[in-house]
This record gives sequence, C-alpha cells and structure tokens, in this order.
Amino acid sequence: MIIMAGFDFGTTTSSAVFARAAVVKNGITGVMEYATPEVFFAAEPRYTPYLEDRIDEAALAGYIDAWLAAANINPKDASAGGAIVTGLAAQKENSSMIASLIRARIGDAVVATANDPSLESWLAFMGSARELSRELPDQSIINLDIGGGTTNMALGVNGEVRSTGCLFIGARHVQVTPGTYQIQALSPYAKHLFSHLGLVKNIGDSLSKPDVDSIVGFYLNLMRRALAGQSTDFSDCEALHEQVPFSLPPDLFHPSNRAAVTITVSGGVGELVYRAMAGESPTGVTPFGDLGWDLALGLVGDEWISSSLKTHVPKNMGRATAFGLALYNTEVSGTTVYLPSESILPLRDLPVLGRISQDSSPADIIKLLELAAKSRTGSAIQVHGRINGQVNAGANSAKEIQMFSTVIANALRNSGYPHDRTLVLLINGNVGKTFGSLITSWGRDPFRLVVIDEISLRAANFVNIGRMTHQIIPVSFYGM
Amino acid sequence: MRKLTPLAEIHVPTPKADEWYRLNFNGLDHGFLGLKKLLGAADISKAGDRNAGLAAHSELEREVARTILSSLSVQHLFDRPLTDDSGLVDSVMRVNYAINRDAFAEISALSLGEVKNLLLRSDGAGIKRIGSGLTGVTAAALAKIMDTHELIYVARKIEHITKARTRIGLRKTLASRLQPNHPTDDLRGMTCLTYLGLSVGSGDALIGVNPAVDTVENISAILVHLDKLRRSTKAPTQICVLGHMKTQLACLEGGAPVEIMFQSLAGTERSNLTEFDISVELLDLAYVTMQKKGALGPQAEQFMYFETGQGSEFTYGKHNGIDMTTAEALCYGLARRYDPFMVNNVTGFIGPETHLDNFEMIAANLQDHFMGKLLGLPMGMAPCYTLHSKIGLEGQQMATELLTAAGATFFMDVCLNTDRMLAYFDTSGHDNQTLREIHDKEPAPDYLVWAVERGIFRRNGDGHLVRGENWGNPRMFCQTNAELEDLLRLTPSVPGFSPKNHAGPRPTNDVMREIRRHQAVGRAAIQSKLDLARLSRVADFRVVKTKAVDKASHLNHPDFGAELGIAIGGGNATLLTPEHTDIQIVVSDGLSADAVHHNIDDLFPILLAGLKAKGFKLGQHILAPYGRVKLAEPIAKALGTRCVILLIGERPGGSALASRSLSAYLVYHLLDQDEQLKAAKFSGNDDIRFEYSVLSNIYEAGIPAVEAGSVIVEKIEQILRYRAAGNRLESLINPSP
Repeated sequence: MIIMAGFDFGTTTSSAVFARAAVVKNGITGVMEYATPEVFFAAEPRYTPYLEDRIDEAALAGYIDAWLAAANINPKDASAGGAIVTGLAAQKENSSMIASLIRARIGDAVVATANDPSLESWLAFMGSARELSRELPDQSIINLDIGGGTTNMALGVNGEVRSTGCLFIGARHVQVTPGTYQIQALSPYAKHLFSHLGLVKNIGDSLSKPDVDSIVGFYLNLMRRALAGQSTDFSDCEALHEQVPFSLPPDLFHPSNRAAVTITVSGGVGELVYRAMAGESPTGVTPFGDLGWDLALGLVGDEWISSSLKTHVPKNMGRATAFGLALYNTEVSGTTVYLPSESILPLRDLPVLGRISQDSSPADIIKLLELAAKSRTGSAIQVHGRINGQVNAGANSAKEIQMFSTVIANALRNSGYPHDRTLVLLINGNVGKTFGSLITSWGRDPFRLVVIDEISLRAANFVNIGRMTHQIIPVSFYGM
Repeated sequence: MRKLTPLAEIHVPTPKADEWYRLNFNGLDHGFLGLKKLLGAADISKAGDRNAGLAAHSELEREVARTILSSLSVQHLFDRPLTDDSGLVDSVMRVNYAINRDAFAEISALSLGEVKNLLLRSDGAGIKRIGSGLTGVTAAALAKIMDTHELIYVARKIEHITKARTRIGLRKTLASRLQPNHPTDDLRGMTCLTYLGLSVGSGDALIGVNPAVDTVENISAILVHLDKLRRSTKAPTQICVLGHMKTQLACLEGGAPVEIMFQSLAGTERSNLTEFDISVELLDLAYVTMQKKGALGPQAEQFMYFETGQGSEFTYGKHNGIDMTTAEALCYGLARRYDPFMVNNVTGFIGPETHLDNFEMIAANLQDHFMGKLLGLPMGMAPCYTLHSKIGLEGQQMATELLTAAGATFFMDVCLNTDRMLAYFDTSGHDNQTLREIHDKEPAPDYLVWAVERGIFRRNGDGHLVRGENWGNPRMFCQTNAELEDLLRLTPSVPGFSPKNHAGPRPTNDVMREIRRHQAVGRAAIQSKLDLARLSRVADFRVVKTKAVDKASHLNHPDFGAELGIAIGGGNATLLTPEHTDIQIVVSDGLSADAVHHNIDDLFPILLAGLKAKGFKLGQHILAPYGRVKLAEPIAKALGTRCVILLIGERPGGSALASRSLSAYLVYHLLDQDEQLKAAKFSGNDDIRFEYSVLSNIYEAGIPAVEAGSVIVEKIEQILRYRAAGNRLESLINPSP
C-alpha cells in the first residue's frame, strides 16, 4: 500500500487529502496502476495564512504538521501526489519558497509547485468532474474551478482532460469587511477592473449594489467569452485577466451541440453555487469578507452557464484540487525499467526537454541531448513510437528497438553527453529495460541513463521521479 | 459439532496377503490377484487407470471383475484394508474405518450385489444409514457395479442439508459456489466477477477465491475484501479463500474472517503429506480451531470445505496401486470425519492423463457424486476440463444435466466458463440458472429471499420462480456506470455482461461464439507443433528428442516430456557430452508451440545480445519438441552446464492472446557441493539438485518478448553471481532485516 497526498494552498483556503492504494498490475493490459484508492483523510479547508503581503510560512508549516498528525501518517511515507500553491497565493513573492518548504516536509516523489495554472485546471477537473465525465462519455464537460483568485477551466471527455485555461476571476480580488461591502484590499487585477469599469473606489470606501453587479457582470461576461472562444477580441482589461487561454473546439457551443456540453463548477465559489441552487442563501452580505456569494449567485442567475448546474453535480467541490493531486497526479512505472543503481533516485524537478521518436532525425536527437547536457541536475526526454504514439511490443520488433537504440547511443556519443549527467527517458511502452540495455551496450557505456517505461506522454515542463519501491517508480509531472 | 475419534482408537483389521479372485465364464478362466486389481478392472476404462495398468483390457474382463465384486460380502472388503506400497494401512485408510458399526453390522453379511439392490429399494434415510456403515473402498466397489441410471437414481434420493451462515443442500435447491478468481489477485477483478455472479443468482453456497499467491498477507487481504463485498451487497452466503490450510489458520489467528476452512484432499496419506503438505493431525487441528475460533461462531453447524477429484494420487505417482475411483472414495471417507459444510469434486481438472474424453469425465463425475452422497457428504460438482484433453463444453453440460438429475448440491460459477487464474473451464452462473430452470430448482432459501428483494428473481402469478428484471445486471451493485466499466476493464475474458448480453438464462450467441473461438484457439495452440525449419532461421539449433514420440504421448504422459529420448540424426540424447558451459538455452513447445513461434523472433536476438555482452559461455542452442519443464534437469546433467534457460509454451487458457504466452524457466544446476548444501538447508530438501526462477506471461499483454530478453539476462546474471535461483536467490538479493 502506498500513501497518496494532496495539498492545495489557494487564495482563500488551504486543504489536504490523503489516500492509500495498492499498486497492482492490470490483468488485461499488464500495466501497473493504483487499485481503487481509498481516501482516509480529507481536511476541512482552512484560511490560507498570510502575513502582510506574504504567505505565513510558519503558520502554513503548522497546518501541514497538524494534517499529517490528524491523519496519523509519517510525511515521508507519501510517495504519490503533490502540493500546489494556487491563485493569488501563487502570486506572493514567497510562493516558490512555500513549495520548497512543503517538499522538505513530505515525500520525495511528491511534486511541490506554485503558479502552475494549467496543472491546477487539470487537477480540479480530475478531482471533481472526472467521474461525472466517465458517467456521461458522450458529453463534453467543462469544469470551472472558481476559487479566491482564479477560475481554472478544463474541458474533458470521458474522463480525459482535452484542454485547460485560466482566468484571474475569483472571490477575493476584492476583499471587504465581513457583513459589509467596505473595501479592505484590492488585488492588482481588481484595480485594473475598477479602472475599466469607471469605479472610483479606494480602501475604506463601500461598494454599492450596482458596483458589485458590474464587477460580477464583468466576470460572468468574461467567462462566457472565454468559453465561446472570443479571447482574440478581448479588451485590454479582459486580456489582463486571462492567465492561460482556453482553447476549445470552435463549434462546441453551437446551438446544435449545446446539449452535448455540460458545465460544472468546483472550488470554494463552486461550492457556494451548489449551496445556492439547493436554496441556501448567505446570512447577511459578504460573510467571508469577499465577493464569493455575489459571484456564486451571479453564476446561478446566468442561464447560459447554469443550465446544467442543477442536473449535474461534480464531487469534492471546494477540495477538488487536493483530491486531484492526491489521486491522479502520480503515475507508476512498469516493473521492468532500466535503472543502473537504485541510488540514482529520487530525481526532483527534472526539466522535460522534449520528445523523440523513431522518426526523429539524428540531428534533432543530438540537438536535444546538447540541451540536456546543459542541465546540471539532469533532464528528461519523452520517447514515443510511430504507431499510435506507442512504443511497445505490438508496435516495435526487436529489430526496430535495436535500430532506434543505436541511433540514440550514437547521438549520446556524438553529442559528447557528459557521463556524470543523469538522462531520463520516459517511454509509454513496456520496453524500458531492453531499451536502456541496448543504448548503453548492456551497461558497458558509462552514461548515467535511466529508462522508465509505461509512462504516458504528458504536456509538462517538469517531472519528479520518486524512489523505487516494490519494483515500481512513481512519476509526477508538473509545469503544464 | 462432531467429536473427533483419535486415530489410534479406530479399529482397522490387519491387512491380508493378496488372494486370487477367479471366475470361469463361458469356458474361460479369469483371475485377479488382490482386491486392488479387482477393483481397478471392475471400473469403466479411464486414462489414469489404463496408464496405471489397472483398467480391464476388455468389456468381458470388466464384467467378470464386476461379477466377482458383486459376489463379495461387505465383510470381505472390510476385512481387507488396502495398504500402501509398504504393506501398511495409512492414515487415510484408517479414518475410513471410523464408521457406524451398528449400520455396518446390518449389512456386513450381504454381498455387494445385494447391497446395491437394497440401495435401489431404500428411501433416502435408509440409504444414508447404509452409507454410514461403509468404508470408502466399499462405496467405490458399489459405484463400479452400478450403471448410469442407478448412480443417478440412488443419489437423487439422498438429501444432505448443511448450515454455515446459510443453509444449503435442500432437495428443491441447486446452489452455486461463486469463484471470482483473478490471475493477479486483483481485488477489483474479484469484485467484478462477484458482482457478475451475484447478478445471475450465483454464490448462494459460497463466494470462494483460489488465490494466485498463498501468503498470509494476501489471503487475509482477499478475505477482508470478500467480507466487505458480502456486507455491502448483503448477500446471505459465506466466504472462503482457498489457500493452504496452514495459511488459513495463520490468517484466522491474525483476525481475518475465516468463515469456512478449505483444503484439497487426496486419497492416500503419501499424496497428502508430500504433495498437499497435510496430515490427519493438521486436519484435526484445523477442525478444532474452527470450532473454537471460526468467524461464523456457533451459528455454523458445519464450517469445513474440501475439494477432491479423481486422479490426483495417480498424477503424483502416489496411488499405492489403487484405482482412481477407489482413491477418490477414500477422500470422501476422510472428509466425512469433519462433517463438512460442502465438498466440491473437480474431476476433469487434471487433464488427459487421468480422463481422456467426455465419457470418462461424465462417468467419473456420476460415480463421485454417488459415492460422496452415499458416504454422507454434501456434494457439489465441478465437471471441468482443460484444453489439452478431449473434453469440451458439450460433455461438461451433459455431465451437469445428469448430475442435477442426481441431486447435486451445487455447481461452480466460473464466469462464462473460463477460469482466469487456473486456465481451466468450469460451469458458469448461466449454466446454473439454465439447470435450475430445466430441473425446476431454486437457489438456497436465505439467498433466495435476498435475490427476490434485489429483483434478481421474482415469483410469477402461479408461484413459480422466474428471472427478475435485475437478473444478469451487475450495475445494481455499482454506484455508477463508470465504476462497472472500470471493473470490467480489469477482468479478462468477459466479452459481454449486461442485460442485453443474455438470451434467457444463457449468454447471447455472440458472447458464446467469442468464448468458444478463444477456446478453439487455445486447443489449436496445444496441438501446434514446432516449426523446425522456421526456427532454424532464428538460430543454429541442435534438436534433442524427449521420450514423448508424438503429440498424443506428450499430452497423455506428462512425464515423457521431462526425459531425454533419442536425438534426431541418430544417437542417443544421453550422448550429450559434458560441455561445462555457463548457460544452455533450450526451446521447447511445452503446451503451446504457438507461444514459441510468436515470441522467439523478438526475444532471441535481445537475449543472445545480452548474454554475449556479459561474456557468458553458451552451448549450442537446443530445440526440444514435446518437452516439459523438468526436461531442463537431464539436459543440465548431461551437459554439465551451470544454468539452463528453458523457453517453453504455457498451458493455454481462455484467451486467444494468452495462448501465445511463453515462460522462461531459469534452472540453476547445483554443481558445487557447498551450494547444494545451502540449497538443501534453505529448501528442507536434502536431495535438491536444481533451483528454479521463472519469468512467465511473456506475450503481448504480459511482458513483451522484446523486454523479456533483457529481463532474463539480468536475472541470469544474478543467478550466476549469487549462485542461487528461486526464493533463495531473492533472499540473498534482498536479505530480510
């Protein structure tokens, strides 16, 4: 059994989820995978601690320790999952330091990252809408994970994320005194928005109902336009609010297709949306000192966005990202990898430099290896075959593998690849040990090569590779 | 609960020297020396008895033997306990003499022919009383003089009701043991197969898993999981994991929910001790422990579960000259001691060396069922087959029709007939329901109440039980469609399982065609022959013959393929002279030449490249048609090689793809005396000469051949470095703290 952990430090709240799962071989595909993870601890969200304009590192460390203690696990036991600092918290100057702090406290294999909006969108979809999407395989599901600082958007079909995007829309760009609309703080994005809307309000001023409506109206309109693929026509203010463009099929929202599109929401605001749909209303205004309820009620009232909210409710809502991190962020390798020594692992934060295949020219491979040679901490390259993107026995004969490995071995020699620099090849087929053996002439060539197989191709900039346990290696991507 | 009579207190007559049984018929003298020969000749002709030299050579010889047997008194058989090869009464035979002496006294003077007539004239209670006074040998003798109608007619009158959590064995019922085996013990796959089985009304006798790995940890985990499934579905039944009794006892001590204690039995002490690692003392211990600590507590009136089947004693070469039917009856005499909740008979499981064809399997099943019920056991039946015998689905179904008529307590539910772990073919939940409908039977009563509530069954207007709207719909046990899809995705050989895939109580034609196509591919793989010309293009092989001269002798005599025969091109294979190499590669068909043909092109170049790169000294590669795994040993001895890499086709199961599955046996030859002593100490076997490491499942959906090549190279390097293989090697690589 392995422990899977997910920590989400968002603009407003932070949460943690722990699960345990066995790693088993799929009896049909032969691929190693997690068997039915069981969530055994899901922390109630707590306010993300700030100290002036920084995240309060000590308080946050206290959170982590308290969660680990409550779940009764040794932090070093976590070998899958990750921690992510998101939204406006990720904009704080010490956010990357927070990632380091988290990493120091939890397992080697666990990814810790900040300001990774596409990953967050992916995670939120996986943590909330994946099951619904599996249940409705013919529907395109768009999940909007709306938190304090960002709205992370993901389009998925049959449980697979197809596209991600992110907007700086959230409850907490405008902070107010709870129970009032008296402004306490404005994010840089809110300041631009006020200027765009012609609102002349400063700290201490109160917003009127029309002011709030216009802010919420801007947000809803921006969401609709992002979903409708109108980002090329964005105004400057709208463009400023777009962190990652959301690329969708052009005719997705064509009236003839609209019935095949379901929108779900998650995140803190998402949770309020479903509470409002269930008839709940806030006690007074701004109970959390932000515009969360106003935004939620605006979404409920927006017929275009809310048409499917009543009928389709995703899971985990406010903790979607933490669930996504714990349950879906880490893959496991096959049991036969090429690893000259287990002491090479773990490998943290390796840049994923690119992809090669049997069709890549030797020059392209050399170019990539020259780039890899510059990465002192080592680097990773994804390898795929030419048949259905798969390198496996069905697609590759011994002859093909021998030829491909010769090309790479020659490229390593010709590029003068340093012998002490770790190079990880990530392959999706089950050929890791043979591939590595052939490239290194059965270990006689001195390259520090690791080949990890049965890892699917991912559009990510970094990868974390954990220690080998029970013949498998956990692999987590980030920087999407 | 039964109090066990100490073995020493069971009186067994002193064995007598073999005597001649003679008859002159139609002017010809016939004679049989000793009861064992007489019993063997009186039986229908079955492969195991033919191979053991016990079967009659003609119908006339058989009928003479039956005539003589019919004339012998019960007392005559009682007074002549069959002995082991040392002339002693073994513990299994001794337990068989723990009979009801009063009942015995009532019939002891009757001839077997008269007892047979009495059985046919008696009601169920009368038959049970007679049975309580019989040893297994006498029950077997009776089976041999009864025809098909008689085996069915007498057995049908006997009702044995047993109760663990729920009650089975009522005359009106036909129960089933759900067997959700998974090749890798994947709990999700077991969940899937359990849901599928429950949805067709199976599992009322038991949900029982044969584990792929027999460890306390694994079996406890499966028990906990089955318990969870039972609770979540609320199905009124009992659970069991069919590990070794010692493992189950350890699980029980560790707090795992051992509701039913399982063990396979053989009919001779030698087979039980050396092959099953059990003794009467261990069985007694398990029974007493379950009485005190069994998970069902006092609600269970019975809690033991035994599996038996004709031929295991012969296969192990430990039958003491006793025929298969009689040895099987001795198992029942042993099982009777523990008043089991259920007994399952798996005659047909072993292969053509014991039961060659449908007739042999069907007849043996009817005998077993009769003998078991006569001796007081709740007999479940699993007429089954492997693809290398001449038994098929039609024969299996004929057996079940007859056995249902005979009043079998339960059949197995192996989903769509294909066991995904044991690579054999058993009855399915669809078969059970079909039989229930044809023979007007119902599931066990407690289970039925639940199944009606779940819509699996319903009563129609005239009170008849019919399939309900949820019959065959496993979705009812899942939260979401996706959950069911995920479960099905993990479960091999389920080509369709939803309401639309049923036609009445049967799978739809499309499903059956797919199942049968896969079986046909498996059978073709077994019959496939090594293409020597094609393989000679892969490498420069020398061809070595085994003792099996053709496919038939290879399949029917498993030991032949383990011995060297004559080399092609003249000369005796034993002339293989010492070469003192590090490694000898041997390629053999085993039970699938197709597996060799499909993998060799990709495996061999990688394997050879690796072995050469590592600098090992190799002998010229050997190709050995009609070989078995143990062939590695005589080859290693003849060549004086340190290690044999034997690439051999696995026994095909129910998947066309898996019929191409190859295994690599890495056989370390303990040439060095120090290593031999270490291996002997580690294994407890003083005579050990070889250690084995195995890489199996080399095929597309397992370990691709390309990858297997380097995996073998790495393992060989370890074997030769550590000078060990198998568990000893692993213990040296990863020493326990």
